Amino acid sequence: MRRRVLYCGALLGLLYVIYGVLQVYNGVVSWWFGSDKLMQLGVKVFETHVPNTFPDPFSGLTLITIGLLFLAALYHSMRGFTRYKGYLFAAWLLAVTVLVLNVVEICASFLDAYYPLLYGGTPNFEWSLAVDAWGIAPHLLLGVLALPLYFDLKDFIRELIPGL
Amino acid sequence: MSAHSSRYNRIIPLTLLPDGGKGIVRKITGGFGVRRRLYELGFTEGTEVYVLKSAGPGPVLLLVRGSRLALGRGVAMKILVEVVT
Amino acid sequence: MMIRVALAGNPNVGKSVIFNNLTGSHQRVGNWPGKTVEKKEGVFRYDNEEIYVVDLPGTYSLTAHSIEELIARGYIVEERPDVVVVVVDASNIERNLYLVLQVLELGAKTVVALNKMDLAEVSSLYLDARKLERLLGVPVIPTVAPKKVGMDELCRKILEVARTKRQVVKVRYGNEFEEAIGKIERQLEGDKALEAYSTRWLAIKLLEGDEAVIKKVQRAASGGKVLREVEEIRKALKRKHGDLEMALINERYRVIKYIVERAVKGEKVLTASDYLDQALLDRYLGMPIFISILWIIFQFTFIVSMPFSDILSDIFAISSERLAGITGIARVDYLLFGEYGVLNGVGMVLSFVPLIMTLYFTMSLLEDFGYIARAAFLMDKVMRKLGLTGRSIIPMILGFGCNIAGVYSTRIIPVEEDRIVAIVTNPLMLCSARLVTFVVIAAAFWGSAAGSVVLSLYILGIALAVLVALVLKRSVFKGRVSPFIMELPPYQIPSLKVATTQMWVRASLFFKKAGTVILLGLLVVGLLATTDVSTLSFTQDIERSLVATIGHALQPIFAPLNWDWRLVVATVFGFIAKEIVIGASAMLYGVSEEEFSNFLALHYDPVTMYAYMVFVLVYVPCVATIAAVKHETLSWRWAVFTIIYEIVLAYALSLVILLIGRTFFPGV
Repeated sequence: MRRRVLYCGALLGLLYVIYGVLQVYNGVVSWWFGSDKLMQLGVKVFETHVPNTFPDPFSGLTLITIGLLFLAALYHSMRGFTRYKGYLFAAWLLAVTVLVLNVVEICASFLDAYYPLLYGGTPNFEWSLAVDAWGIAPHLLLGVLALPLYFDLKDFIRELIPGL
Repeated sequence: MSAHSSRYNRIIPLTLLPDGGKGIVRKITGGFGVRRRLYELGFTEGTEVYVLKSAGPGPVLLLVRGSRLALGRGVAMKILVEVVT
Repeated sequence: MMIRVALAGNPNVGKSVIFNNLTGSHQRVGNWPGKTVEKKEGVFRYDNEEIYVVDLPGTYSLTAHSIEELIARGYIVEERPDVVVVVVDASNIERNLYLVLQVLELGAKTVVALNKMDLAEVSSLYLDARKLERLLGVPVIPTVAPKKVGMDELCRKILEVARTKRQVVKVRYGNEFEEAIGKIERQLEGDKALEAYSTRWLAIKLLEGDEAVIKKVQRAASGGKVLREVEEIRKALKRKHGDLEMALINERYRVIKYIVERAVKGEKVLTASDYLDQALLDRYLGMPIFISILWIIFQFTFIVSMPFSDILSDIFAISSERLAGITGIARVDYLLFGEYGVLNGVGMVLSFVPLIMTLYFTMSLLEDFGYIARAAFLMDKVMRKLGLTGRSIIPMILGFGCNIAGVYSTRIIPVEEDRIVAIVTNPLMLCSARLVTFVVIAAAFWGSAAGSVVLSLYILGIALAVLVALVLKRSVFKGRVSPFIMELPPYQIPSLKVATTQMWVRASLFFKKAGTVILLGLLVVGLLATTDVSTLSFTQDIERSLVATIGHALQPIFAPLNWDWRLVVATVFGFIAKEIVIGASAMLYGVSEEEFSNFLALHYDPVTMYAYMVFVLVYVPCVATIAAVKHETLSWRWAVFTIIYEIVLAYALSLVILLIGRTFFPGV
């Protein structure tokens, strides 16, 4: 049972690495060379893509790291080391964290656009998910795909809850 | 947990223990302040230490008397342990 | 009569959770007098009694060789609380009992809170609290602090123990030691001056050779005689056991072993934390993980705080618009509600608050989770070579967002010298306020290469920080190389409640302290900018104001750097808050903020501007940061030092760059 989970994880890991590399590439191209010829790997929706690999080398590094952790989990389990558990756990924790980060970003952008309503001003109607810097980024999409791993990591997570 | 074994085991600096290795503290060299600090944390003669992580340069992570302690390489080198197989 | 309780324990045992459980919102955070260590105190009622609680700093022992130990021991010995509650980590019992034994030696009435019982169970350790109680001779209450398990029982015991006269402590060391202790105790008996202290404790400390106690005894009537006797006893014992301080440490652990063998069953197995550490401290992935986590913190902090900052600044902008002209007195109106008036100033200060709040919230989560310790672990080797310690990396990183946050976060550095070095070099970390300034200037002169130029400034800042750290380490703080010994606590899901409390507490502290300094500064500048130099009456023409006179007066100093008086004044405005530099310059030159870039490109050359940016990077940090430095170092000495060294360094560096630039890029 465990093995199949790890293969799925590794597949997910590969996706993380790919999108991570894309973000790094986009980041370099856009920040250093000022070009807006970005590479995207997704479904085109309005003016943006799903998922949106926005240019940011550090974000890309994070995605690559998560991917490597998933891959490392498979690697260690194939070598027979029990430490694969830790790698899978670490990968999942980071994946969920950036998933939350993406969601928070969307909420904050929404708030930033519509807060004038609070005091009777005009909100920024220009804003939409399509226009947002992040939009639905790989963090969100891949993070959602990673969520089911919760059931395999339940015991570990319970250990970390202070005061069972 | 003291090993009163009649067999003589090698005594080496803590930094030479591999990941997952075990040793028994035999002696601590070096300055007074560091020695006292280590003693207070439980590195007394006869204490068993378990190496959680020692790969690469940088600090080592140990399990000592039930707690997870990180020691800089310079400090760990000063702790001489008897290897436990 | 209020009952006084002190909470003691190792770091990371859950002491603060217990403290919060007891006191709830009836607590106050401050500092121990004359120290940078935080003091938490509070009150609560139980069974119709008022109980005052002090949360002592977490310590591994009470040998008084670090500030925390000095404070903890000092409080118990001098203030003599009615009860000392030692919070013990059940999953780590052996080392935790060391502190318990030391507290028992002090002769304080003790209650042991056996916390984290759930963790012990998970590690396959089974503790018998009753047995422990019998072996130690003091009440042992099992607790699970986050779930408030055992709190009621703990309070009951605290009252019970407070009302008893004395506790009979069962802990005894080896025969020879007990004999020696007894002999010394007899010597000390009857001395009036030492009546207040437990003779057993005095005896043990004298045996160890504790300097503070020796001094105390010296001052007593029979002091000299006692000390001579003690020396004899020590000599005899030393022949057999070597250094007595070490010998006694050994003795304590021997007794602990005895106790643990009888009260604890099971062997510790690898836990989720151990597994997680294997991954997070991986030889190759450890660093990328660290950088990723930093990125996540940064992003989270800035993304979440942004809308709230915007809301706040809008509120203030609108308020000052609405309130403009309300008093009818031109001068007061302009001063309070004008563009550089007080209300706007308040708004600017408050606009920092969401950022600080989110920052502390996030940092609290991360620390609660347990990762901060691992970060220090990962960075230690690198930092050591640069004259810093692993823990200094956190303030450095935070400083890139805001120096104020960076300075406050130096609290995680335990060694005073390292902490001061971290505080003093933090302003060299390019904060987000200066980033705004640099982006505008860089875009005007270097177009697409602007990014690299700004990056070069970041690197310069780091390099200078390392340099200053090395210099300080070699001169003022010479010789103190702190060995790296650190405990890594188990990971745990962070508590949102703790993070939120932290957030509010720090934010209000920040607002109160920094708000006053910034406000005063703004008021002064506002007055200067609106006072006509000749008539000393109100004026809106800046060229005729005091500030212009000052600008012109100072300009010659900066003439070698090629600035005109307006740039000088704008830089002075930067003292208040670095963001203002651009806005103030624009105002003084009479162009809008947007046109400013073009204006600059026309009137200055790249070399002068790069030198100017270097100056802005290095010179004096904003007032709020200086206030933070003063607050964290508890004196003006280091704040002044920072101001002076930074101004000198900024000027010198700027000049050098100008000269080099002129030589290698003439006519640029």
